[in-house]
Amino acid sequence: MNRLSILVIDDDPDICWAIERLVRSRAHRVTCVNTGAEALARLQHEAFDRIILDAKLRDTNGMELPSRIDRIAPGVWIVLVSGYYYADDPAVLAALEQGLIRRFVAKPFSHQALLDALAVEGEGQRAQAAIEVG
Amino acid sequence: MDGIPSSVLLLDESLRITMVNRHFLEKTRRSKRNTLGQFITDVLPPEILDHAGGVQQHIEQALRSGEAQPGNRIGYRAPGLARRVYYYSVIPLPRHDGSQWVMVFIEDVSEQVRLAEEVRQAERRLALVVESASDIVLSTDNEGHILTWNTAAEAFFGLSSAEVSGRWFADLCSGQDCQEAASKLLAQIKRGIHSLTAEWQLMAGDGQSRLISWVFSAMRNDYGEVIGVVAVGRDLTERREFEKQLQRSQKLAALGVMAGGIAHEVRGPLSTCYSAVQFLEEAGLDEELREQCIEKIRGSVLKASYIIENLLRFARPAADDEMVETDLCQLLQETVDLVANQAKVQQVRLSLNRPPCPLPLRAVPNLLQQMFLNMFLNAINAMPDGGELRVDVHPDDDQVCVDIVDTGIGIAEQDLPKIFDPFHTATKGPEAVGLGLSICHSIARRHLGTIHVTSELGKGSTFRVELPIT
Repeated sequence: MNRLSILVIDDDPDICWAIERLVRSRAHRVTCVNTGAEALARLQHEAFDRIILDAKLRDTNGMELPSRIDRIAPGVWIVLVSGYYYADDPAVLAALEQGLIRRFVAKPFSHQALLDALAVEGEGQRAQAAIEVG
Repeated sequence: MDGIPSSVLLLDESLRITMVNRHFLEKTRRSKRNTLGQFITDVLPPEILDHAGGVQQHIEQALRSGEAQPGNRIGYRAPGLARRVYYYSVIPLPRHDGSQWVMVFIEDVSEQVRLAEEVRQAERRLALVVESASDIVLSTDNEGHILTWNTAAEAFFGLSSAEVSGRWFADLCSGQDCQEAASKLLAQIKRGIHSLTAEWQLMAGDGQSRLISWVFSAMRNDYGEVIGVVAVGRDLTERREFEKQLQRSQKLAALGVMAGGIAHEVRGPLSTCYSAVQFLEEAGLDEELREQCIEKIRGSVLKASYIIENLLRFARPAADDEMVETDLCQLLQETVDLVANQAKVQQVRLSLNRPPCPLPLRAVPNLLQQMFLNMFLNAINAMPDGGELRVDVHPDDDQVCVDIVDTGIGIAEQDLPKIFDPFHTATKGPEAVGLGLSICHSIARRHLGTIHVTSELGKGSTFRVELPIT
């Protein structure tokens, strides 16, 4: 399995705690930030393989962040994790269609669903299945 | 005689014309020569002479009795001309030789008759307007005795116009307070105040006590003297009921607006719980993580429960709408907590700057909270790209100012006078929720308060609520 570096952008420290524990247990590297500004600053000088993004942040609307991230880190794999939207929410579908995000996971999430959405090598089959269902 | 603008004829005992003035000759298009010495029956048309009782008969009566005959009105239409109305009187004139002459005085009153008819018609129209008004319309003299009383008043009080005529207006009030207020009000109008308004609880004919809003205006004569009072009363019962329904529907709308924020806020702790549970399920879990998971679950449950509790507090229908002693500080704190979720998902920094509690005032807590909630949510909605919402509380001796300051899109100057109108909305399209400022306005008024707004396009708005404190 590939060792990935993952950036988590969520202003809820408990969510950061859970995601951090989960992906670290799979031997990936995790960095947590609480605001959009912090995330953009971090991306300026650090490359990440995956980004887990909350849709609603204190300083920015999470839905606006992917296009700004894309300018700094083109094509980076973004997973939107949110309690604000639901899976077939028009806003989510639009973002998926435009390629702004790669996957959407609704809170509360099963750990497996999140790992699938990260499409880590070796778990790819399940990720593919998730796409087909989605 | 020629200067008199009416027709004057002098007749002798044989009904011959002995004298005639210029006005008569002009009107009848006759000359002196073919008129003087003629019999009146040859000069005036038979329609006039024989008219109801007859001019001729009156002349003969005057000659016989030597008494003036009461005036009479006759209509006459000369061939090819419009119908005219004349007023005539016959006055006997005794002569030195003992004989009797009579003077016939004929005046054209067509114009006066026409004007009188117009006045009558205008009066009838006015009476019809008053009669068909759905509001109670009554008038009193200067002492407050009822003079007129329309159909709506009859229907409301169950008393006919005849039954109340002359009764003292204040007798209609059911309570002592209202009677005193009515007397005071009449006195003020008598002193020259143009109009006054009041809201009184009155006993309707069906035995129900109903809230009536009154406008009292001075009734003046041509010289500007106050000769009485006109009172127009509107039954507010239905309007209050309508307002209540509107408040309920707006509450639902507010809940709808907040649903997204609440979902986000509740699903956060739920997500944490779910993760903790999934960690707990893992085999070979170390003790430290186990304790962490339990702590996270406990904290998250309390957090979600707090959010739900706040929501319930707001959503629960008001037990009653009675004014009770209320702590404004606590009420504002709870309302701010309620919108905090929504502020967060819209990137709005929210702060409440208040003096230490309590700040007591008399209020219907549920309504007052709804008013502030609407205003906070409006402010948040005015900041689609985030911003700052500040709620500043400034207590004074007998009143408190609550400033609701946002850094939103602002309100165009031409819209400012309209924002308190019912159904006015700045939001177009399906998201238009119209968390009516009109409702806020009526709630503030009910608390004897006011709302003022200042705004600058692109900079933001400040809504100032002023409320009396106890």
